[in-house]
Amino acid sequence: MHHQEEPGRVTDASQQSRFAEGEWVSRDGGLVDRRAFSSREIYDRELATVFSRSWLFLGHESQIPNPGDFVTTFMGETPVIVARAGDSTVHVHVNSCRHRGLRVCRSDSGNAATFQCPYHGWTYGLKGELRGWPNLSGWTPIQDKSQYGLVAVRCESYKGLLFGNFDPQAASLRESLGDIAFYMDSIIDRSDAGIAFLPGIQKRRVKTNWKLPSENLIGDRMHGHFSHRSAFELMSPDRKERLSKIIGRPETSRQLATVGGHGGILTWFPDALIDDPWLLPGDWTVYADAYGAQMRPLQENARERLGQDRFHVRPNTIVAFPNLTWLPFSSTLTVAHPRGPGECELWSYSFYDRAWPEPVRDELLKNYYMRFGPSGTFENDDIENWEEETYGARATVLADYPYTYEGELEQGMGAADARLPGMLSTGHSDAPQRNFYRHWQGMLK
Amino acid sequence: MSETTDKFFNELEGASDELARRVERFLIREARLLDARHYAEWSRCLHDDFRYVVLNRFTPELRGKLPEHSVDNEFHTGYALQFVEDDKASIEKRLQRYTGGLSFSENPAARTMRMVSNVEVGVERGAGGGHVVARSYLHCNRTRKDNVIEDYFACRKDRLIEQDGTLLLTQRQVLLNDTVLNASALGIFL
Repeated sequence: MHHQEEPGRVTDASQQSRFAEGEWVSRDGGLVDRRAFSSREIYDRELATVFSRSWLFLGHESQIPNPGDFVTTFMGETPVIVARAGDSTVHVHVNSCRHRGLRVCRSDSGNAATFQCPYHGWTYGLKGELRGWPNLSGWTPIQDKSQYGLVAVRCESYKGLLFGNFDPQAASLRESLGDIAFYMDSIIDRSDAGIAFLPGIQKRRVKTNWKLPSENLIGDRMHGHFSHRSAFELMSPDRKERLSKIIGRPETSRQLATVGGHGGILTWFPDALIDDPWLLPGDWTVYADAYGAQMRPLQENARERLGQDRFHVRPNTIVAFPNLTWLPFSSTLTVAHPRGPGECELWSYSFYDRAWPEPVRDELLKNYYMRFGPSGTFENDDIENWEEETYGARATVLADYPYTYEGELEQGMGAADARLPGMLSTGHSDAPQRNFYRHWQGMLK
Repeated sequence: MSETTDKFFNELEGASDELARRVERFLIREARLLDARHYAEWSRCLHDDFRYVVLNRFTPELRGKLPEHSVDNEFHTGYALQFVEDDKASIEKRLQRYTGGLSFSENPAARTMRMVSNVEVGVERGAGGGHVVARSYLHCNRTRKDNVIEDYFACRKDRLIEQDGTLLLTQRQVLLNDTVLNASALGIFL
């Protein structure tokens, strides 16, 4: 083999020089080593760094409205309990008994006064304090109960969205979200009533590395028209026509990358379009004809709350580093809980604005089932891609042939519009993915 | 929307042996049509008002004794996020995508084998009566390419109606035996 003559191979000096020693992402972000998606060693480092220092999505306050309400979820592979205490404050604890490590809560959700370990009956309050154990044999396992509460996790809320962080040194949630919060507002802060989550979380095991959903949704504008052809074909000509007016056009399309590895795909509406139905929330194409008029007053309220600039922007996708992906058009967000380098659990939630009329909620939910979630005609083809992408990363003999993210590598991103925070591009670049992977690499150290 | 607490499915009665045999044959044939990818013929087993739901299951907190019919507590009813809800129109769209050749998750096509068992049949009386109700177990094995192997285990609660001498499905509730779907996607009818 003549390595120097093989374009694309990293042992080619020009490509090798793009990687810093010991890194899996090239300095410019345009190359990512396949082992980032297949190596157990890198995965273990991710758990110890990315999933131990980042703000990780836990749920929404509407899932636990009353004192004693709780949900269980995961931060990385660590099980946690998110509970509302008697004084209505929200507390997050690692779901593991301090005695022998068993989960003290083995259900998905409910209402409880205490959590009890099945082994010896150690019993904890909603704020994690060890209350005691059934004194059935006069047994005294420890002297000082106050030292053996459940391990507490930092929890902060952004407008009802709950996040946890294991790192006491980490910057605040608001600071860590940075510019991406501006775009989240345009979904979750449109009305006084705010959003709520539907009961039920769609959970499924997928044979994909956890980063690939984030990578795809943060900026991959190039796969849609190819990969999702079969799903687009199912739409009526009228709906396709409406969507084509805004999708993929340089005057309305933006890619977003922000500090912290976050990003997304945006639609930015010029003034001329501002009074068309384009800015109705969710996928208005399924309800605007029937219920658009009912939604108008809500729109005016949203414009006032958000301000003109924030109102003009519609996020098609938002990714909050590391593993929270949003599809606001389909009123859903998904967490990819890592389960080894080649597998993750996708947990999808559906949300609605409490101000929306019921028929609008129903139409949007129906639309969601058809497009995303386990039965989604778009998602099924995405999963096929991510699983094959993960499969391809197992070819460690190809370690010298990294995955490429070089779309518009030269142009990069800039502040394409002074009214919008973050770095923006108008094209079909891989810049948000490069930003995501450079941030990931920075955290691995 | 989705109601799971339904006494008609707990105590099925009133069906003659002949009706029970007809329903069982219907369920077996319907499974065969799906496995054989005879989708157009399968969709003729569905009433125009057909409603299909795969319910989302969770592990609830239990305090005290396990109550009667506690299985019903493991499903969200009303306005909730299920795994999928379909009507005949949305099902026709999904079938179109199966056979259109453009979907990378359906091409190469999946191989499926549905095993239907534990069939119980009853007749629903009272308001809107005349419905045949059936409960059955389903084990569906689905493989694709050389690296996808999935097994679905579910209880199904069906309502059927007789129209011009033919049985048609008007409703199907699928109660999976999982809380975490052990499959990447539900691109399949159970």
